Amino acid sequence: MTYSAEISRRKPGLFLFLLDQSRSMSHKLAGQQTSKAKEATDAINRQIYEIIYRCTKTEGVRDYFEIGIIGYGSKSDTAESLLPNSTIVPISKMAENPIRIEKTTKKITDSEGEEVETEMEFPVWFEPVANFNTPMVKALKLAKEWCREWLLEHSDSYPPVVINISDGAATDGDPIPAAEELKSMSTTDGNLLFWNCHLSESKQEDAVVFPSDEDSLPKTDRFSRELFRMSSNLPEPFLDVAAERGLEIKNEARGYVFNAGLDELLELLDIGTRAPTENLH
Amino acid sequence: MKIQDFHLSKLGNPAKEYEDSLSFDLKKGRFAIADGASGSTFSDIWAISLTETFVSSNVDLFRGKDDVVNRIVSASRDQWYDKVNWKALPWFLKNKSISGSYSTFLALQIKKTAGRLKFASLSIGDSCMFILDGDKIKESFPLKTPVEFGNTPDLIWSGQGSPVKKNLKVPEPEPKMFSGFISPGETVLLATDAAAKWIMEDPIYSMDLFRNDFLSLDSKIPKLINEKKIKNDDFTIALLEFTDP
Repeated sequence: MTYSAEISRRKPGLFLFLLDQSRSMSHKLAGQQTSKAKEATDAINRQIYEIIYRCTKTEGVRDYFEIGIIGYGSKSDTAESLLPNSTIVPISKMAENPIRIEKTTKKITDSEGEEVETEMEFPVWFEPVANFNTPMVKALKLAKEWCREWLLEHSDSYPPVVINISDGAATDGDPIPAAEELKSMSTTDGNLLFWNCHLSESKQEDAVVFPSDEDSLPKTDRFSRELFRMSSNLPEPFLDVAAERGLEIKNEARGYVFNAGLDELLELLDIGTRAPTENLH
Repeated sequence: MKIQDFHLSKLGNPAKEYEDSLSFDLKKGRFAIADGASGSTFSDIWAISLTETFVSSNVDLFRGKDDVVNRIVSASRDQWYDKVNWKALPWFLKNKSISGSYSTFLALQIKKTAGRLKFASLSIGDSCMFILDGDKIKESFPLKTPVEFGNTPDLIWSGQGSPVKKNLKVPEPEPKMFSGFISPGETVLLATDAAAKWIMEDPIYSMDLFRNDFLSLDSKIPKLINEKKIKNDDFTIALLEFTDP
């Protein structure tokens, strides 16, 4: 059975986030008062926090995962790491090196029913940016380069999970061949998983969540179908997590959300990172 | 009364990450074993607090379960709360440790009554007690068969960590109770889940090792784990023998 490799410090997993930082990401996300860039950045920062939370034990953060973040479009025709002076980083190093920590107070209810105010700390590893065009092909090629190097030392690990968040079509060519090359990479436990999330500005169009065929996507929107073809099929452990969340999706479903608002973006990130963290040993 | 015990950290983990706990006082006839849940932080401290608290307390299991869990949890929480340096935690431990710690727990009390050995035991979760007649399992408690072991055993919660106050009333899980007599020639074995499941699956070989080749456990248990005959987890057993019933 594939996608069942145990994830341990000897055989860590890899999450790689790709984020569109093109100018259009400065527009508001559907249903929100803040930009797509801000919401997507917050969502990735929050998801990394969640992964660290799951890896935190008494003695500290165990390196069950490594993390990479590639931004594309903050500079013209450029894709690059969003972590200062680093590419792929062990999760414990992420925990030790946020660029800043946001403190918020939260009320928790103790077991006697009394409310207690507590200070929670939320780390931030990168800030929102929305600047130039959408060099998605360059980002995919950089992701492939990083994953190729990672796989040399992790050939029997859980396969890398690559999650791409964008609001528009690539401006540097056809991304499908680069996506196919990325998806063809593998470990003994299965092929690399490539997930896509398309962010929407309009609440009038419903999100299409984990579609299983192209006909569920707008016929006139070439880009929506392009991202569908680029996305991996959901392996069984991910289908199980989606079913636990009450989502009715078919066995042929792809790791893809089109016209996502904030809820769908968070759902994709949660399901995309949840199944591997249930294999921790 | 004589006790032999053996423990091993999950293979691949350093010894400091061992989260089971065994405490006993032969003179008082008090024994406790616990398995701290690895999903929560400071579970090793919580497991130690539970076993040490029970063994050093005068909680009497022979009087039934009324108020027993409350007294154990309340005193254990104090010990656990005092052992964590809440103010010095980095952000990731601070955020998570507010949720508290979890552990299984099995307590055993043995006393001599009218020339017979009487026992009373209390359990929450899947840490087990066996009564052995020679190399046969006469009784096991609370689980009887290997299929009963799962990924979500019942657990005792410490209650929330700081800044929630120390003297907190924590919800009590419903314990299972077991009592009876230990006959001459019988022995008692305590085991956390990985060991207990293996004992049920292979009683003849495990009993032979425990009774006749205890010193070989150091080499044989890792080998059995590598052969996937025992789950790779923290492993703890204690064998109680009664020389003069």
